[in-house]
Amino acid sequence: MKNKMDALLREKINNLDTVPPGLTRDNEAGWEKIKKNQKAIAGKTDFVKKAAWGIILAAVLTEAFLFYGFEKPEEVKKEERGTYSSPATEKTEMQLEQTTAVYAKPDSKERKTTQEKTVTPRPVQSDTSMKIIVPTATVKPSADKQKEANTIKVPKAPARYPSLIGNAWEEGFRPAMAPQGKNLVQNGTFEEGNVGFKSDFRFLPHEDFVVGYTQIVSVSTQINGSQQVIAIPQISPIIAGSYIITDGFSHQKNRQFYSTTIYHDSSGFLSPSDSLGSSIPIVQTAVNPVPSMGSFLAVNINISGKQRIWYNSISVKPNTTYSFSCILANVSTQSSNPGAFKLCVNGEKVSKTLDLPLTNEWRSLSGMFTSGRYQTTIEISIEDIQSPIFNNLVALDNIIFKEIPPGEFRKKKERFSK
Amino acid sequence: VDESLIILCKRGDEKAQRELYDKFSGKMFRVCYRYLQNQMDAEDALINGFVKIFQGLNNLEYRSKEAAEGWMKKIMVNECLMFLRKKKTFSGISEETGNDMESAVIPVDDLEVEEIYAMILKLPDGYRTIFNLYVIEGYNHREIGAQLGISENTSKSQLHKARIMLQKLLTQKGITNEK
Repeated sequence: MKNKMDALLREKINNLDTVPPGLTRDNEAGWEKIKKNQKAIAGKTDFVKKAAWGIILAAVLTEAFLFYGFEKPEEVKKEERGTYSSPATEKTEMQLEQTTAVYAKPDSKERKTTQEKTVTPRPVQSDTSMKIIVPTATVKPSADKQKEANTIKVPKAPARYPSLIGNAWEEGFRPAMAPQGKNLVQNGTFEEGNVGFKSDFRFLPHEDFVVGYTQIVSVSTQINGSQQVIAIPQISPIIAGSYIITDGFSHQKNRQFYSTTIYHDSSGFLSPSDSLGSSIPIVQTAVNPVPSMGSFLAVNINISGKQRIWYNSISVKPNTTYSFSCILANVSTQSSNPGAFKLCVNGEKVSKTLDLPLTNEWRSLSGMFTSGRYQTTIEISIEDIQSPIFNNLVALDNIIFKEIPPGEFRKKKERFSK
Repeated sequence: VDESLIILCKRGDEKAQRELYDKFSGKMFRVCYRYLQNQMDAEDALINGFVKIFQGLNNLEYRSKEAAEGWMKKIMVNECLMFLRKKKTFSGISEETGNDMESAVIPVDDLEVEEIYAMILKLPDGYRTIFNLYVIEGYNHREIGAQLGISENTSKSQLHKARIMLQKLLTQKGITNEK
């Protein structure tokens, strides 16, 4: 009964569609108020939208400034590039890592006699730090000043350190100016010997380093019935497909070889009666990279078909950017094509390709890597891209993999395009 | 409400919006006035309600005229409840047990609708609101309790009291529910 009455009442009341008796209302005024309120809300929404876009734009510009604000100038004078020295780089790195492991590379003689590593802090020279002058946005400098401001100023390195020119410049990232992270590579300078890394190449223990051996390349019968055997040494002091850790190709280790003619009798077999013919000196096959950097890895990639000269697993933090760099040098005197190299993370190339020139100067190779959301372990490697047919003897040193604090790197993304 | 009118309103057509307003302003004012019992408050609720209707039309999925009208009415009722909450109409309602729900049947047949409407307006805010929500809008006590922040039993007892009060008003008018 009650429900029935309620339903009837509901129907009657809900059918009322006019203003209650005795009341009058201004429909037009109501409409005007509605339009006014709608405009006010639209204005607020518009303001909120604009404010949101403004915040987003500001954030993007800030990030862009931090990201690109220190970009490499288009023009870098050659002589200024020439002052960019590897020791400065090395020193900067070591200087930054004094709390962890800073020691001078022991002299090769000391090392040979004691087999101990003397840990001595390298003297810090303040004049090796690099400085960037960034032009301000408010003051427009003159053309000369603009040019000067756009030029990275690198103080001259000490005279005893020859110059290092690396393609890191071309990549827009300078290892010498890498932010202050800890080098995650153990023994990146090879001062501890053959530890802390892996290689696809075979390790030759230093003391057993084969400096060369003769190889018979031709045997010819002479008019007098004797045979001429021409033997020449292996071109490389390191057997192809192998590597050594050395502090330099000293004269003793890399003695000159001779092409030897051996005359022996008609028996066709070597015998005590055989006489030694003339000997022709062969040029030295390996030279030290310049400048001297203490111990380094030297590898003979000669037709090895192997790829990873150096690789190792590294623990990383997720969503973090790291710099990865090393220096390489051709150390062969007979190479016509020292080869090309790249830095890889998990097999993916993260640097440009470094085509080593014929000179024996160290060249730097660098790249950057940002870990994934859940990535905690990676494999970093230094790989040979094109194994030349022969004479590919290369030195590797100063491997650095370190975290770049957010906002500190100033590398343009497009410059990393492979 | 025709679907075409709703579509035009969704597109922001001012003429269509005006047409919708003209068509429903009287009816919706009735709704608001039934809750608020004050012309100015009802007018404000009506205006705010229409602004929200025009804003929310994009989210309305048109199914029928009745559904669209019910949706608009619901917006108006919510606006009115907001007014009443601001006035703290429901904070003074004490927790009560809701029994004796068998009394107070209103003899609707014997009354003109305007008379019933006028009697509803005479109810105190709390009674009137719950009576409106339960009897006119068709909410149950659980929904009313959730809307007003009161318990189900309080809603029941308030409704019961509203009915008794309406009976008294009817008695005063000489109308009984004997049949």
